[in-house]
Amino acid sequence: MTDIAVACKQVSKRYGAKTALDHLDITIPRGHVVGVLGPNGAGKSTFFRMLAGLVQPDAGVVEVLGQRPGWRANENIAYLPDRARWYPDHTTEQAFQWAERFLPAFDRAVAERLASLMQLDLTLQAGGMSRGQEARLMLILCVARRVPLIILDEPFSGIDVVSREQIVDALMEHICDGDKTVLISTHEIHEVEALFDSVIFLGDGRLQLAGEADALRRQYGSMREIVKRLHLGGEQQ
Amino acid sequence: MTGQRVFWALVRHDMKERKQRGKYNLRIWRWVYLAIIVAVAIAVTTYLVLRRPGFDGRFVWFYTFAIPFVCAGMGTGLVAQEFRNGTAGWWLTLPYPRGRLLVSKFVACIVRALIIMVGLDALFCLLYLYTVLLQGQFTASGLADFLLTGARLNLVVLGILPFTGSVGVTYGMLRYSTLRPLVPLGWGLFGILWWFLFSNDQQFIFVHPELGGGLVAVSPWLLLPMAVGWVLAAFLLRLATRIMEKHLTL
Repeated sequence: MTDIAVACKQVSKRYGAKTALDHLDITIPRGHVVGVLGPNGAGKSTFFRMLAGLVQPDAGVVEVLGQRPGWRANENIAYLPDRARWYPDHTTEQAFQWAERFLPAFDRAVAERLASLMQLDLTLQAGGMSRGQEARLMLILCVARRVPLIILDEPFSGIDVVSREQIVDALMEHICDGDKTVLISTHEIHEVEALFDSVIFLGDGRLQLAGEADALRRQYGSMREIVKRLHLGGEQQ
Repeated sequence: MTGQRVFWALVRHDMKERKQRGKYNLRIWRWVYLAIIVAVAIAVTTYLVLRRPGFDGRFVWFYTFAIPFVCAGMGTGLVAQEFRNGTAGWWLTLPYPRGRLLVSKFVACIVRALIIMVGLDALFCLLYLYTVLLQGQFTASGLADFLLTGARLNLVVLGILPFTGSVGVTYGMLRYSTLRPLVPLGWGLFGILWWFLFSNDQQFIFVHPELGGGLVAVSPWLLLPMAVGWVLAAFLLRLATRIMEKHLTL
């Protein structure tokens, strides 16, 4: 088994005239919680979709857990898509049943514990949930899987501060156990950065900066400061 | 779960009708409109039976030719609802072969079309009984004639459903792909194929208005265009799988 969770070599992707990823080179070791940060349009979602096999690179090579991305590799990946919603007719309970049927290594007991921790009613229907409750449900469906790679694309988008704190607390407890690789993209840096072992900064589809979270903080002060500097100054790795 | 169990679980999941987020509950209105249609059908039938002595209730079975189009619409809807409801990301990253995800929607739209057809069949059988009782002309042979007509047209539609179901699913995928500009061309091709395979019904389906032996007779040669339709259905599902793998826009 390879020690590398994700490897991208010279990966490019264009959508018409827009370049989403531009000769991206990234290597992410296993067992790290990695923040993938950058402004809108930096290529974070395209990068994640590529890892989940939803989009194909125009050029370059992508490997996830030693495999080419695709439905076979997805057996070992829990992916929370960007702007995702849940089936509106499902209750939390039915969503867990769905996950048990279709998502390999879904741990029902962990899911129920997380639901209790995040104060999510098992009888509540997704169609009647607030955005925060629905986000918690979808996050549980990912985090409750015993898989080596978890990819969370903007898991806090549109969620109030209280819900965000509950989610981060639950994440702290369940994903920072050292054997999982977790990739999180978010604009809510301040609340989440304590989770990160390392951070990758993307801009215009390129890798701008990468490193251990603590070392970067020591060097730059805070993650927000790095984003500001990169956004304004375009510092290279 | 084994592949087969996952497949049937997917079919069951796709069988459920899902209202679009933020839309009114259309299901209630559907029942309201069904009740109105039944009331109008009873009123019109009563009028025809009482005022037109030659009224032949067997012609009602031609409604079955609408079912393949309903099936195509449901195939498109099953794919489209994943994108409209924001669940496409979950659906498309399921760790199962792409073809299995699409074929489950194809099977679900066919089963749903069959359920609708069986329901309408039952409704029209009741309407037939109502008309013959109103006319005072109920006979076992008349009922057999009515049911035989229905059975034949049901079988014809059953043979056509795979083709239209696959067209619906493929069209659904095409709408959310980079190949979307091909949609008008696809509809043109569908029209030509439909006309070529099934619309030349004078060669395959014969209407005998006289009583006894069923209103319609079906030529065994109809199996030929049906078989071509099944082969095309397999081809279209393969094409839809390819679109799903390579050409989606997200």
